[in-house]
Amino acid sequence: MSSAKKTPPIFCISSGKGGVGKTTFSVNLAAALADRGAKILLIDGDLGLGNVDVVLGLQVDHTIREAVEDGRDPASIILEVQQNLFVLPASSGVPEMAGLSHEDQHLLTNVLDAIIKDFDLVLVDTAAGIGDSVLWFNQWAQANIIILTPDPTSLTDGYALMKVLASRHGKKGFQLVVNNVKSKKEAMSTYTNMATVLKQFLQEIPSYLGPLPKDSKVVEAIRSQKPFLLAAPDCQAAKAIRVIASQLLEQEGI
Amino acid sequence: MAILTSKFLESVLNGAKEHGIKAHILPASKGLLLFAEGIAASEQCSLLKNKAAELHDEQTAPPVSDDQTENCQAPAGQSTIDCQVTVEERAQLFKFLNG
Repeated sequence: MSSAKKTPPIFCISSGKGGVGKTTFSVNLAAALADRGAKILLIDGDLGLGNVDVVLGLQVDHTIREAVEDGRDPASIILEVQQNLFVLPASSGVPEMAGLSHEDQHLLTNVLDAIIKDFDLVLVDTAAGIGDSVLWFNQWAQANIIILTPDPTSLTDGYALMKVLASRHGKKGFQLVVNNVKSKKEAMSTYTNMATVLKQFLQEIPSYLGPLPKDSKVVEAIRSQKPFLLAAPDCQAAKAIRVIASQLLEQEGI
Repeated sequence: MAILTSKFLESVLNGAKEHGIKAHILPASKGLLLFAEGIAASEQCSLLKNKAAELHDEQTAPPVSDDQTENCQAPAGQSTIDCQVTVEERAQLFKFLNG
């Protein structure tokens, strides 16, 4: 598959609530898409507390912060993780980056616009919450993936995020993934309920990307700092992420 | 557009302080903008207008015009739409969890 010099599809992955598996999902989805031959850029959008490099066990020398603050060439910051999979890492322990001032947003736009055209598809793993950087990345992206779990806190925070994005920023077409489920039925029930509430109160009908099952292999892979797609390629979660990757590629015609 | 005197602004700041509101005066491209943490821009405009009218009655400062109140908006790219998740929304979200 060749790299087109046009703006690629950009998928922003958020959740509202932290700890629902956003980064693990992002890393493994990126790996699954790369396996299918698409050239993927995974941006760590948690600008002040980046974790993508940790999940992948990467040695990071430079981060997005240096491109934004010091004018460093962003191409020199990107790391090649495996064939077709590239990561733009974020800094850790830099609250100023998490705030993302208007000036930083402008600089970040320039930095990202300069590099994304070399890729077939871009994924952004955002921070938790509804802070400036989360909202900015969700506005910048064309597509918004929201990770939920069947827990009241996740449902509330995920809904709140979608409400802000829809009401204040006119975002539509949310794509939902239900993580950490015991069964497909539980995932579908979670999606259906969220879809009902979104339709009732926000006149918005989200699409369903699929479930990610609760899987002990996922925890083991996180601890070994490898994508579960590589550490346990036959586990249930790996099969589920491949289905979601195929769906996205088909959706984007890649 | 009304011009706010330093006496008027000082009065507003003192009033905010008395009510435990942390307020700052920030320079803006036109005139001055009063910013109080935790209060929506539209509400601040309304408070400012009321305060100006009150002071005007006391002949200490001119009132803020209606035009200025209507034009008082959040910075570009931001909106003041209240997105608080309501009790009804939350009840619906949790409905299926309880069977």
